[in-house]
Amino acid sequence: MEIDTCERDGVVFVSLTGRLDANTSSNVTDELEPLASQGAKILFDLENMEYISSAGLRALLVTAKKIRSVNGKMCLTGLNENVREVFDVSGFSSILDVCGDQAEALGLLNE
Amino acid sequence: MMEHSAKLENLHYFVEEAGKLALEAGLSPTEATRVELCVEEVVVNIVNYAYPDETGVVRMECSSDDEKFIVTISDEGVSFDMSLQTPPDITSSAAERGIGGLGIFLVKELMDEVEYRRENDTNILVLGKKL
Repeated sequence: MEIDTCERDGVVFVSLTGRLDANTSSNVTDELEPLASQGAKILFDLENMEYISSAGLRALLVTAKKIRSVNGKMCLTGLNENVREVFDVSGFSSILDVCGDQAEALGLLNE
Repeated sequence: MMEHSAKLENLHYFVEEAGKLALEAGLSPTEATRVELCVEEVVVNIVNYAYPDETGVVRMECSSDDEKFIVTISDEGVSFDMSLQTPPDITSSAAERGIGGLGIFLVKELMDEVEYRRENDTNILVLGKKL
């Protein structure tokens, strides 16, 4: 899994490429922990994330909980059909902020 | 039949093989990805819980007939029937939501058939996907 981050106008864009599974989820949690604990505004671009399992969902949830505890925000865009289904079935579509596109996500982060 | 030690580093062997054979059996790429996900969840569960005091193995066999693609995953660890697990509360908020139980829930939701049996000190889980 490739994790690319880039900051623009106070928002950290995090692009995840590959598979977010039991082998890669701890890399994501560890890599994003410093950003999350600063209360950053994070926009996840998941356009190139081809697969997610429950371990991946947990990694996103751990990051979301951390961010919310320090008044930061995060939202997710670009979910492919398979990833979207896992979010919907698990109920994660309603507990994390999933946006239709980047404009909507930026609107939410800058509220 | 594939057999590896119940270690996380071996997970990809099972997932890749199941995905490849699911496609070969005629499942769509979306359905094959669902099979991969379910194999991951079951194998990770075995890696995490089946062998608390010793190392053991995970075995997987895939087959298909005219109607379905079948993945059979077995281990000789602690007896575990996932059908008896209480599902997580998927309506709770992020702050309330505990960690755990989700993988098993996904397997039950995404496979067409999930059957468990215990035979000769072996957990045998049969996952079926209609073709």
